[in-house]
Amino acid sequence: MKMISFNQIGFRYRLGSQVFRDFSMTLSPGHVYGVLGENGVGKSTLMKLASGVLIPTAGSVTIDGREASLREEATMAKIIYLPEEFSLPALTLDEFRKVTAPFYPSFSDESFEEYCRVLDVVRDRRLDKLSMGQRKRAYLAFAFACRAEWLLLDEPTNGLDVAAKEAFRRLVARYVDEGQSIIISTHSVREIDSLIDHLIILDRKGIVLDASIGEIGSRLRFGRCSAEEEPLYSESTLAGTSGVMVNTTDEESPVDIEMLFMSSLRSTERLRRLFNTKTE
Amino acid sequence: MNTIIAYARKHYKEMRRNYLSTFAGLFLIAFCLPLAFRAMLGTTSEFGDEVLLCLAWASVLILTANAFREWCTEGYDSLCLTLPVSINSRFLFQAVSSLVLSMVATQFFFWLSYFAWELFADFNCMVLIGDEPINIMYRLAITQVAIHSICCLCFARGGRSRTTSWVGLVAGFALFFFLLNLPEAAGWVSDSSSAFPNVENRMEIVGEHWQLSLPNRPLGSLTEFVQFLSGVSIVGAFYVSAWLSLRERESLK
Repeated sequence: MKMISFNQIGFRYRLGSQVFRDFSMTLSPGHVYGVLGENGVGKSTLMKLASGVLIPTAGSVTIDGREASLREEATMAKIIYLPEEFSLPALTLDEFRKVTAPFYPSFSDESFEEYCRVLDVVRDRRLDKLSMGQRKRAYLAFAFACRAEWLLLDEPTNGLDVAAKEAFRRLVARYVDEGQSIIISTHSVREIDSLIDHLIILDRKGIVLDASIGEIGSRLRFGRCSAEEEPLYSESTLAGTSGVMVNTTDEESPVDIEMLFMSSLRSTERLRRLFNTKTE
Repeated sequence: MNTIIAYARKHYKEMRRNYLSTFAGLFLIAFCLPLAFRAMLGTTSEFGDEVLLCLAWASVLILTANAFREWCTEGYDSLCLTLPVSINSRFLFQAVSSLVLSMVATQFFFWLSYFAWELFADFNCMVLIGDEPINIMYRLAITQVAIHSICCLCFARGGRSRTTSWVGLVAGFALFFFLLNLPEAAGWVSDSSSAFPNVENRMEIVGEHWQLSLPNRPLGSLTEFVQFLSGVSIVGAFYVSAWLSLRERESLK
């Protein structure tokens, strides 16, 4: 079956602490996953493990049943990984496309032209001479045009200006319409809150929450609250106190991802219990 | 096969500047430096010889650092690592490519140094100091080639295991020292001070190096045979460790 599975993985950096211990998670196709968490909880490590760049010290990561760490040609053709920071060769974008696109059978020249236009990509200069933001626009246009089954984006909006962020959001929405899946790791919650349909929040113990936006909306209520309601998180605003509470009604409320993220920091164990999430 | 061809195409497109600078450096070391320093510092100056040697080594180090940087950047670049090319294809390409490039670079080096040598002779403005320059050139070329190969095979794309990378590095340096002493081990020279016996058969010897052939005589003694065997083992260990480093990767972060 088409999915990315993390099967009881363990991982630690040689010179660092244990990042994952007995960590399991499954990602299904056709979604936009948002992976949130504080710095150092392993968001980027998770992306690298999924793309085979890192190898788990225990367990396995599989893409459609094949181990990601083997980095088999057929498996790698299914994913595109955009790291937070990266370098590109001393080629123009068109030269880069000519030599790299043949590796991705579904690459579309037409889409590439369109994405370059939408993202306002600089095409007449060498990629290594571009700023990080320009480089990111260029590679995003290429990555979307590859039409791989899984697009793994690590802090994709870092370095992008407002117009590019808006263009990026439009491209993400369109990408998923075409049947592909996107995993976005970020701590800029506001920039992706309208895009994601499944949220994963990590902390140092593992998964705090792994649920669809619909499920979150049915279990939690976001909005005005009082202290008697024992909110998971609350904050004072000009309009009164707003917060995240357990939803005791059948009514769904729109999910405020930033507030939910704050709840995961303040009421971690309550949230875990509420969503039956297993700790490592 | 198509993937390997596409991979080679991508690799050479991206690396062409590095190759150009490497070959420009080789040209500088093998041809321009000997010419310039001999002209500036005189013909019999021992000081000139020392300066020439130091600068040539410095240039080799700069070149090597450049190659090392390029290869490491590539080896630890996530975009490159996630390119849909199998580990075995990468290894096959890298092994063949590094060998071919090493041979071309060595040959380029030898020919340039030979012509530089001939220029000195024709203009009759230099007094040659025996066969030492060619000896030096050979050792410098081998240094460049060996270290380039180490970078290529042990640290390049996908080679991320610290243990196997170190094993590869040690094996690579062992190979380097083996090659460094090859003229003596193979019986081309009697001691390290004169790598080639005379000027007349220098072309022939250059040709021999290019073809990487052993001298046309039996391996005379047990010592030579052991040296030959150890050389083959080292080369084997070098490639096996490189292959392992491509298979078993882990983070170096």
